[in-house]
Amino acid sequence: MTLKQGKAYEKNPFPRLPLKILELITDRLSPDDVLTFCCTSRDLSNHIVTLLYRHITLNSDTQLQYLINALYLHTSSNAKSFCHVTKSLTFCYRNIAINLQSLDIITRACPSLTTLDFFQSSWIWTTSRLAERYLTGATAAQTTNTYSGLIPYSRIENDLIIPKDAKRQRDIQAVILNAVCSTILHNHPHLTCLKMDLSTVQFERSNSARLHNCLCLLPTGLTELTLRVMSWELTMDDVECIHDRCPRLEALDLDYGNLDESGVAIPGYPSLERNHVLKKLSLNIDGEKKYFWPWLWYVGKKYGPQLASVHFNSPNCCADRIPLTLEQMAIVDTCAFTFAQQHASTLRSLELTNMMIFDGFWNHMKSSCDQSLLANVRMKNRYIAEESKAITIGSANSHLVRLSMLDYVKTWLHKLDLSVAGDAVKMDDILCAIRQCSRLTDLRVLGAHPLFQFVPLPSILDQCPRLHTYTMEMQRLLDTELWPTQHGLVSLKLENVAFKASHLNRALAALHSLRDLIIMGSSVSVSCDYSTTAKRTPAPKLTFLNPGMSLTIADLGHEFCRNDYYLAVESRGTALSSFWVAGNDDDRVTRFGAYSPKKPSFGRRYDDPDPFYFPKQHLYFVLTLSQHYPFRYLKVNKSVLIRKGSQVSHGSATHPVSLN
Amino acid sequence: MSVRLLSSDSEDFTVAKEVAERSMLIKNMLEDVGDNDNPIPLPNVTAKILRKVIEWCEHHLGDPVTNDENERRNTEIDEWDQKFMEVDQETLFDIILAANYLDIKPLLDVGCKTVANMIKGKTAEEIRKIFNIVNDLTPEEEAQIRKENEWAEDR
Repeated sequence: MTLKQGKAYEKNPFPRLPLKILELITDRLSPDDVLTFCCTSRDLSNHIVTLLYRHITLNSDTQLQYLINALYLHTSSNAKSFCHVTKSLTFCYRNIAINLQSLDIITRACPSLTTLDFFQSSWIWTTSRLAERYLTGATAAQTTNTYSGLIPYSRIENDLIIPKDAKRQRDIQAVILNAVCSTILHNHPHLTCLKMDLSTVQFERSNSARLHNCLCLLPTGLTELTLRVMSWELTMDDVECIHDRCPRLEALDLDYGNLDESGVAIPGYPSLERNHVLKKLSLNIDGEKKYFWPWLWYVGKKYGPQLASVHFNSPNCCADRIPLTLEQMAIVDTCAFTFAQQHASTLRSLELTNMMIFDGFWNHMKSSCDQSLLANVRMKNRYIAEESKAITIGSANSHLVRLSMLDYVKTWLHKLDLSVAGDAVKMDDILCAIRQCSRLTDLRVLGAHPLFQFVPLPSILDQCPRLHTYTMEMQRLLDTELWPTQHGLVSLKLENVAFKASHLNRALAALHSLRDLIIMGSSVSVSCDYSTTAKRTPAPKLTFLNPGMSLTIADLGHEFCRNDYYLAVESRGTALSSFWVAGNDDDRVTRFGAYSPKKPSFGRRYDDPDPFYFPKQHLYFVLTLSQHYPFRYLKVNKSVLIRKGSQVSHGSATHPVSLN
Repeated sequence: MSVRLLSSDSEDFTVAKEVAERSMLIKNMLEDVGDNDNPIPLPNVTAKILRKVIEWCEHHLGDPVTNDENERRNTEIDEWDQKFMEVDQETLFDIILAANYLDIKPLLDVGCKTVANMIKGKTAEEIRKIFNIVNDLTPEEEAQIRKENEWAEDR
């Protein structure tokens, strides 16, 4: 967004807006941005600070502590009164276990919560710890806190009644999860959205029944439910049970259930009660790929035309296509037909990851509806294997499946996530098919390995003039001399990509609209004649010419050194002014400050007499900026080094970056 | 079939009924009054803004209607909409208010996304400059706001 776009009005426009519109604006900002917005004037602060508390998202334990302090310790704080309007509470960080006392304080302060979102593995560690304590006979301190009308989470341990047959840790965990569900049901009567983990430490079939009891304790008013059910054997009966319990459910996401592998068969439901409410369904499932086909039959039979989004993902599945018998092929074909007949003309989003898709599936979709409404499509297989066995239900050849799909979805497609590796890949055909998707703004292309060669970046941009975001994964960054002029690409992501610094530099020079570059798990090389046996090699150097770029680098590697690397920033034509070290072990920035050639620092300094030398474990990586444009945002591994143009040190912004 | 709309500055617009019905307000009014040749008065929308709103409705006429709740957090804007929103700030905020009044949720969303994107990642001083906001907070008051709401800062 440029200033030109919103040429300043002569007076502050916000007082004209009703609170409802300010809410719609702040809902799209992070809490950090809302807080900054609050600090612009007294009037805005008065109006907007309450909106800051409508959606509380905690990204770290530090944030949780500050919130607890505001609610519990600072008696003068307004936070307590603001929390009365809090609608959603999201724990968005991997801090192992949830602190139940903290949860009680927040629960008491936020009586109107409609959304409760625990990080995916949060409860597994909490219940595991409580179960361990129970098994070792350690008794918990009695909680004396009283909460009128609420059941404190911190009392779960004290009030636990363990059945005699629950002797192992995972059994006790399941019992605790029942108590947690019961507490959520009691404490949050207005809940419409719940995301939580109902897994135990280990999968065991016999424990599934105990876990299934949790489904009967779900809040009945839910419209959105995400359950992590890693230790479950997921059955269609579970889904039926969820719909019976939560009749208003509009979005259902079940994460990592083990599929009931009873075989490739049409499920034994003579008549399913049609659901006319659910709009989004997501199943992340484990198990052999062929067993997901009956689920497509189920989705076809179960849900009405309101269903707009379907996502099937089998993250741990290997690539080998599993042989199907003729009888199984007929069943698979019936499943695909049932799904297509019901949903082909109404689906807006379809994501299929690591699934055994054949082109007959897309042919069924096309014959059910000539012009698809699909705006978002994912069809990718992370693990590519040699394949292409002939099957009677169409071709499983990845290339043909891709082309069938692209031909079907081209009209409304905005976002595409596609694997391009596989059998007999013809890059030009794929590029030509992608070009037909004239509304495409967001493209993600998955190759087979970091050196896999797909189409050069300039050719992609030339064929996709409206592209806003392009993500390359598992492939080599290829270049040509012919860069399209004035392409509007804003965001470029390289994930597990091998690239030469010179090629990326040419992209950085040609893409004038680029504002966001993310490099993750990739490896950089300096020149084409670089030899792995050479002792010396120049430091990779990236040059940023665009104003206010955001750069995120994580887990960057080199042929023989990964993760630990020195970064240096220099502005064009002037001496180096800042540098720092980022390590992977503890993700701490060990040094970040003004360049001082006189002061020796860690290991080898940047002004080492031999600047092209690689220390054994470290890689020098130089970022060169245009003279007047410091980074807007810079993150290395998990450390944010620059935010909003200012250096960040120990969690707080200090001095602006001066590079000139 | 067409519908007549009358702006606050008395300009008369004739538009296709399905275009006008992108506005829930107009759709409900048409259902209430039935077929009628009288123009529908829109006292809160000037001709300049109504023209823009009609342009947006005509372009998005065939769009599938979505009521995705996740839209609340989404900030992606279609390329055509981005260009459409390249207007001066007064017009931008007038469009947002008109979309709110006429009850055209997708247009209201696009307007709010545009403003959110103008705020996102900026410092307080940059936001003030963009929107001409006069800073009447003392440094101590600003520090106090940050201190009280410290939990919201990214770490």
